[in-house]
Amino acid sequence: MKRLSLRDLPSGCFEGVIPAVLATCSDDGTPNATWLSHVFLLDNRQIALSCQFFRKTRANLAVNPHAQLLLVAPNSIQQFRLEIRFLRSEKQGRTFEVMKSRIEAIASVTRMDEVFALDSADVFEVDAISPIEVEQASPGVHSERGADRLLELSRLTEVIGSSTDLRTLVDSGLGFLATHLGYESVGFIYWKSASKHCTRSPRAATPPPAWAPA
Amino acid sequence: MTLSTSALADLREFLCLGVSLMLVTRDERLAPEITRAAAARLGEDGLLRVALPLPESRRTVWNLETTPVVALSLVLPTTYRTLQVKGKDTHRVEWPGHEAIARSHADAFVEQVVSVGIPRQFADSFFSHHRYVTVGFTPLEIYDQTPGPASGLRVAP
Repeated sequence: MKRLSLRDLPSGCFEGVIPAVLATCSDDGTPNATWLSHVFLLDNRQIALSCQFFRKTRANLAVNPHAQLLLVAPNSIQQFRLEIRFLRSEKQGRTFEVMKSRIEAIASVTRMDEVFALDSADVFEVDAISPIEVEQASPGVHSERGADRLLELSRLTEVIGSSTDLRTLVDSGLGFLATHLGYESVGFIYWKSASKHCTRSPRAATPPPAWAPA
Repeated sequence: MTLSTSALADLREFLCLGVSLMLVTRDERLAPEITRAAAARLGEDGLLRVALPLPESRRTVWNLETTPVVALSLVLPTTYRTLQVKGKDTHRVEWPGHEAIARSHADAFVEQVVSVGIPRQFADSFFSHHRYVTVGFTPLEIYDQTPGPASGLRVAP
């Protein structure tokens, strides 16, 4: 079996769509789980995790650097277990700043910008990656739908391409995602430069959403 | 020290809301292992029963043969409310009707994750639905892990 590396994982694993789970263990043998809003890919061997509320996790890693991470690819729900080893915490520098800006964007969208604050970027070495084997309820359904979805994606491209203005593009694009691709919760995230926050506009917003040019 | 009646009642109710369940065990070398649980319920007898789906929970089941300490983390995707329960006496248990409870929990979980944007056709793919190992443990400690300043604080006992 081919040994997986970080570059083999779907990019969605690192987009912060579905929270990852980090498991650690104290020196007295008590396990602990914590949820992560974002996992950052540094290179083919290392990742950085956002340390926000890591009271117990930080204490555990200080005495036992071996941990496990569960990652989920949002487009397929493929899941992976990563055997990881804590290397160091960074409180400044490029990695820290990039993580901080992304977490602020996520926090803004989820209306938790008052709650999320990055304490440090914790860097881990990845020792092994294994896919999680899940028996599907209805084997084959996903692959058949895969072909359908490619066709629908092609039609979505046509919808976007035929839009003559930004408002039509966003409304018709989001509407298509909901009606043809089965997404029951879709939105459009945009940056408000005045307030320096991201805002999420719901699907098919009426009256015109706040992003619409005057 | 035993947990308060109100803490156990709150946990019992929360477990039934379609929460995402992560069970963490560890091996003899203190290497942790995460698996998704298919369902968990707190009985009136004080035992927290957990259905572990196969094949993905094989190593978890193996760990529990030698080290019965666990952490069970529960999060409700639509509210971010998160609790973590610790136990030290995990063992195999009989859980009559656990398949129906697991199916019912999966249905509630699907509604939760669809509400936060996961396409419905994928929402039932997080864990297997055919075979389970059922284990139980006595909750010893409960921690609040909801994102925020109180995250990580013990709520009971």
